[in-house]
Amino acid sequence: METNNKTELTYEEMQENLPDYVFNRIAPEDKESFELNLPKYPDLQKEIDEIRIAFGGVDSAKINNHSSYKIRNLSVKVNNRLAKGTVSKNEYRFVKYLLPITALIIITLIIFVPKNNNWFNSGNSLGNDTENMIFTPTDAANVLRESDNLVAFAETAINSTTPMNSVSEKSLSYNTNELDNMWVDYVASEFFNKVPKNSVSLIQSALPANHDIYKNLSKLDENDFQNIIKELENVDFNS
Amino acid sequence: MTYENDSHIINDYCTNKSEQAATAFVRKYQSFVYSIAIRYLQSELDAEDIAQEVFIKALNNLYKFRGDSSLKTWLYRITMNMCVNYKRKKKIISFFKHDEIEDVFVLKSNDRNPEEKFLDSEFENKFFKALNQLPEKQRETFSLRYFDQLSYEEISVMLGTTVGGLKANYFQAVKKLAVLMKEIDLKGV
Repeated sequence: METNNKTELTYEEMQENLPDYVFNRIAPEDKESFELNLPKYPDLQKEIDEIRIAFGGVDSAKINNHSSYKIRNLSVKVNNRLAKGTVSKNEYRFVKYLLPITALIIITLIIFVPKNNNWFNSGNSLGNDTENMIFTPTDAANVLRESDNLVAFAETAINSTTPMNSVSEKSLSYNTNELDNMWVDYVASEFFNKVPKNSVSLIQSALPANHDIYKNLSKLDENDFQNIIKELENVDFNS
Repeated sequence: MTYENDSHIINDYCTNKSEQAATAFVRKYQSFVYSIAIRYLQSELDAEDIAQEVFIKALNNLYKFRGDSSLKTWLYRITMNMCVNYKRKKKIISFFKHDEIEDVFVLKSNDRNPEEKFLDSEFENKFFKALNQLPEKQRETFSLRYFDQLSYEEISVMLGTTVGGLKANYFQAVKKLAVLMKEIDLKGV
């Protein structure tokens, strides 16, 4: 029981003590001070009367007995379950989450991993491709995007490991037109050989304009091609 | 063998796994656990199942009880956690089954035998109907104080509310219940 020895009680304190007073659970000292202060608050006296009428028929002991009757065999049931060594379902709870989580991971992989990713190709892992790569697809695309014309494209290739001297030696036996076509083909093929095959399509799609020049170079008129060659002669490759 | 207090029950159960200690423990707290469960789950069958689970869990973990709080407080927390989980699980299941969840706190009488039915009264039904209309915090405060006769300090630890707040809640609950029962009286049960 809570005790409060104050003789003067505020309205709030009176309210707080009211239920315990009505249900006879108030400490004797508090009861005395409550009754002393009650005449000062006639509305609380009215409330006390209403609560007494409303709760008059409530028999908490009977309600508790009713509950006890319902669970009279609870201890037997609990002991039986303990004797059987019933393992709590909670201990194996993780098992029921295992299947959905696995399924979720598989679905996520299927959705988010690109189909052309070499992950699923045995013996040709993504890591090996990266090691052999001189240009990553992104680097190559960036370089080519910055190239305004074929000259920059060629410059990129020349600065790579391409042995240009061997090209010029081999090309002595060809006529000029054939030589030009072969040179462009050689530079381009060398470049595209440096990046993985699956990256070529990426570069090509990123650079439709340059790719068109390369594709249509052989269709160029002889005069136009010679003009391009002349212009190329004026370009300083070392700058 | 009789046990003088809770610590004797705990010691006997933890050292000997004594069935007698388990029985004493369950009998001492069964009404308390069951009444919390029935208030929260609003079904006698569910409350009985949960009460069993609570005692199995409590007895299996009794060695972990350090006595920082009272056993009632400890059991209250276990019961509330289990009830919350059970209700959540039931909601999910009923969502998939398209069943309706009963939300009226009236002790269901369809699973009772004549003897049990005899225990019911029109007044009790009216009372529980009114109790169900209270906000959860007020309902818990009222029940723990009125039925379980716990001190404000114990309830304060269980519900995490100040003693002053609890007293105010208790007063409001009692006041509302009186009004609600009067209303139900006028309408007829």
